[in-house]
Amino acid sequence: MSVAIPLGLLQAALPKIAQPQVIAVGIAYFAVIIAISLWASRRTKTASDFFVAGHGIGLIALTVASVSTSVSGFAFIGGPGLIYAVGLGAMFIVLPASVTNVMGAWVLAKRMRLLGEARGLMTVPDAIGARYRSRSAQGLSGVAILVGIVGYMATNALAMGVVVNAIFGVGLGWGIWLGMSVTLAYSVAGGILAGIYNDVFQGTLMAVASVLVFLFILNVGGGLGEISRTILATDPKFLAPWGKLTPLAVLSFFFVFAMGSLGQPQGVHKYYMLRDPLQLKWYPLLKTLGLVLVLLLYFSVGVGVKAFVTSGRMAALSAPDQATPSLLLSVTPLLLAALVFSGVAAATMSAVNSFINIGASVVTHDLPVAFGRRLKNELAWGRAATVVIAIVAALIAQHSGTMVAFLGIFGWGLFASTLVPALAVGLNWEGATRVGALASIATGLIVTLSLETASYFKVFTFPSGVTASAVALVLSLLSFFAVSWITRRTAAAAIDPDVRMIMEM
Amino acid sequence: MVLGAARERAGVGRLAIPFAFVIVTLTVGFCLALGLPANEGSDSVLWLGLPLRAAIVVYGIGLMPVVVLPVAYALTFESQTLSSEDVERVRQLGRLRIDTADAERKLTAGDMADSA
Repeated sequence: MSVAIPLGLLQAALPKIAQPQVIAVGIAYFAVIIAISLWASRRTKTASDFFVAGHGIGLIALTVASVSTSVSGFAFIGGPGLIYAVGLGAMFIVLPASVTNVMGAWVLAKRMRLLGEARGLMTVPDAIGARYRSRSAQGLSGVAILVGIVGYMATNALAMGVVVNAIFGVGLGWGIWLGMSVTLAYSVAGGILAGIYNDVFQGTLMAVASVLVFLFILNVGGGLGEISRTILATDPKFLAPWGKLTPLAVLSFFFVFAMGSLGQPQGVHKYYMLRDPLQLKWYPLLKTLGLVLVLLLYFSVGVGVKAFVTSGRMAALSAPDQATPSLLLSVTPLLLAALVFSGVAAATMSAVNSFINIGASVVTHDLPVAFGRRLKNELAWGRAATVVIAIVAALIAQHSGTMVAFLGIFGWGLFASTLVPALAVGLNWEGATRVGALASIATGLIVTLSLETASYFKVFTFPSGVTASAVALVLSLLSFFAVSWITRRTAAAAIDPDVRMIMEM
Repeated sequence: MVLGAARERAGVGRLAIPFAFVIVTLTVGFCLALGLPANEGSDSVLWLGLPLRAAIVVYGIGLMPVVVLPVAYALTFESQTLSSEDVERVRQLGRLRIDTADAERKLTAGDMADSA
């Protein structure tokens, strides 16, 4: 869900809240991040430390970090705005979270973590390369990830700029570079280790902010029943199961966000990092509960603001994305508003750090491996790539205008359509072949880019609100199964014995 | 999910019950949300604060699987997902791979030294 589409943030010109208490909370937040980063930088000595934290993260830290990476500014700004605009149908973006974490654990976590144990793998394309004994599959999946990351990074960089500007009042351009500099500093110095422990802090902050806002809204609104009654009196369709969307549109959301979660590199990459594979036992339960806490704000703000506007407690919004900012500034205490805005900054920085790290690993590890060469000092090259990727993303965020929103749109869909068949199905089905994997990755890349471009420029859209991402994922799966079936004679011979053993466990 | 949980072609074992429960919950939830009359209004009966169809979606589809699947995963983890013996087998495999790579490297270095 971290598609996160901080698109809400991009459309919402956040009101300036630069007041002494808010700035103090913001400065305290950045101080904690710098302290964690300094500590982590002293513990980062190898490429394995830099990219997968030396396979040494404990269960609780990994869980909170994973929750933090899974959500982004979208959960705090764009999501509540979407509920405010279309009603309960927008919940179908987050409802799949009830099954996705445990699905990821069964389908991917065990096998990827064991592949890390047996072969010291560090990246998602590493797993694809090992599964199909194919450098080209590893390289092509790396390219797909890199394309998706450009969009994500630029979108999140801009979102970060919007939030930093709202808190400190420094202007959007300076906001982008200030936010990116802090994220870059800890990403370069401490790699994913700094990222993970900053994510723990940021995830905790998000959960606390979310729960407080949820309780505050229930208290002010007189409970969920009273809030519902207020809405039902004037706009009953808002609380219909699909809201103002069509059943097909919400089912399309449910499908893409459920299946697509298995292809999000920022989530599945973390499976490598767990210190002890046996700790996976409690990972899905803890992560799901963490997500439920963080998403309380998503639901309560969307529904609560609708009721408050209906009853006249709040003025009508100028745009749906103003739901969270307007609520925070007109109804909640200022310190709670500051906490939530820091939570939004935390969400975007956490996403940026994760994508910087994954992008750097593709550039310095997967692409060289695909061309049959390995860099001698992956740690140094990883740090250099981190700086370049961050600067490119910030420049795109600053100069690409409305295109940046488009770049962010296809991120989730692109990862889903290119990685779900080859990775998630491939690690569980011995009938999958190298050619099938290559076909599905290529299909995902081409179809997602074509359909999302056509959809963005309104050249073509699917009827009944069906998303282009859902169609791309279906086509990618179909090409994967069809080509694997056609080339099935090569399937059994293309799996190394250790990979086969792990697949059969 | 079923494909991922199946182990060494032995099927999903005891997980069949929670899987069936969740599949039925999701299917029935979607069917009820589609099939029940769309009569939400100010006099609707509320279920935990929401009208019936919304409550089915939020609590049934959204929260019910949370209670069942992760708990089933944890309770069957050693027997159905991963045991300490499994991990040890994989670690041995990893050590063997490292030893083999080291031996090959030494052999290559020795050959180069001989030819020099």
